Amino acid sequence: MYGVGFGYGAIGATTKRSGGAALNPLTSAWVTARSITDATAINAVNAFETTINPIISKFHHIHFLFNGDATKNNYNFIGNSAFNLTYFGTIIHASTGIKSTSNGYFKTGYIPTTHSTLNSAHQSIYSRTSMPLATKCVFGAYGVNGGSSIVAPFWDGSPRYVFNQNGVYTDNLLWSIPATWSDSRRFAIGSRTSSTAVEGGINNVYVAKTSSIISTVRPDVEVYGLTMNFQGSPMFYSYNEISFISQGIGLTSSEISLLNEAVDTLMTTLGINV
Amino acid sequence: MQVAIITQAQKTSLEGILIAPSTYFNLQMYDVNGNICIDSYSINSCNIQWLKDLPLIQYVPPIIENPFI
Repeated sequence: MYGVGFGYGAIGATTKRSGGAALNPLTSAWVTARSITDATAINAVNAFETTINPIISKFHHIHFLFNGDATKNNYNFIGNSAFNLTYFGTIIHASTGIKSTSNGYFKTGYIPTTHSTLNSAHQSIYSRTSMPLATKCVFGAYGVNGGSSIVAPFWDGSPRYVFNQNGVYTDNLLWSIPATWSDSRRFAIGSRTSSTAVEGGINNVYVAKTSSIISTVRPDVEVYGLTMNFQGSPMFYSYNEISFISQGIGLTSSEISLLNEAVDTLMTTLGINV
Repeated sequence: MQVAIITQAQKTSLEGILIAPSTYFNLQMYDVNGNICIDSYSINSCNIQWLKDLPLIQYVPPIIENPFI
């Protein structure tokens, strides 16, 4: 771990600390592409990249949403600009995360039928606020074809998670957390690693997995954030503040733990953990 | 939340207009009567005078029945 307060500058093709140690490649690219100067953020993201390096190829997009700036927040850390975020309506970009209190949302450019595979996909988020016990969705899509890819939607007070399945209601749940569990902050993830293996967690807790739910169909619409893309339109807006999102191919239990730890450490280092 | 109601033609004229970096109007927000609505924060963020001249009303969201049953 490097200390806070080092200077940074582009040296040739590689951004380096003033002390000479090179940043990890994706961190270096992020710093250059978005003119990042916050030493604390750079150190934290560099450490994050080091931690997840063994599974870095499993991500299609990663977004750090704590930069307090629309352009800095929209950058895909993995590098494919097709997944840079586009915002709609009024979005509040704070140093802790992004949110909207007036039905703002963002598009990810990520269409599961185009960019993921049926039996290998994950979707994660770090939310600094608990999900409201109402009909809301923080990050997801429900396709015209009936396919669902949703993390952290609530319906009638019960949080529900589904992944590459047909529909989102009772018989298609990945799992259902008791409505009495009101704290749904922090890291949440859904992951599918085969037609029958789906698993994930919420609030830094590995919750459940099942082999009884068979994948059927991926959403054929783009995944939205701060709302759900319901067959082409934003629906179920959420006013949660979120600081991190990712999507990619399926993560195993141990890989979920690794990502969970990396995200938690990132938020703690930045002082925006909850 | 305060909003202004716009017509379909006005909606079309706002497509593709940036109100902040990488940020466009949300032109898919409807009220309980199916009217197209623009939130007051977005209106304040732009320099489109006809939009600023529209009256603001309290937003009443549509009633959404469970679409997943």
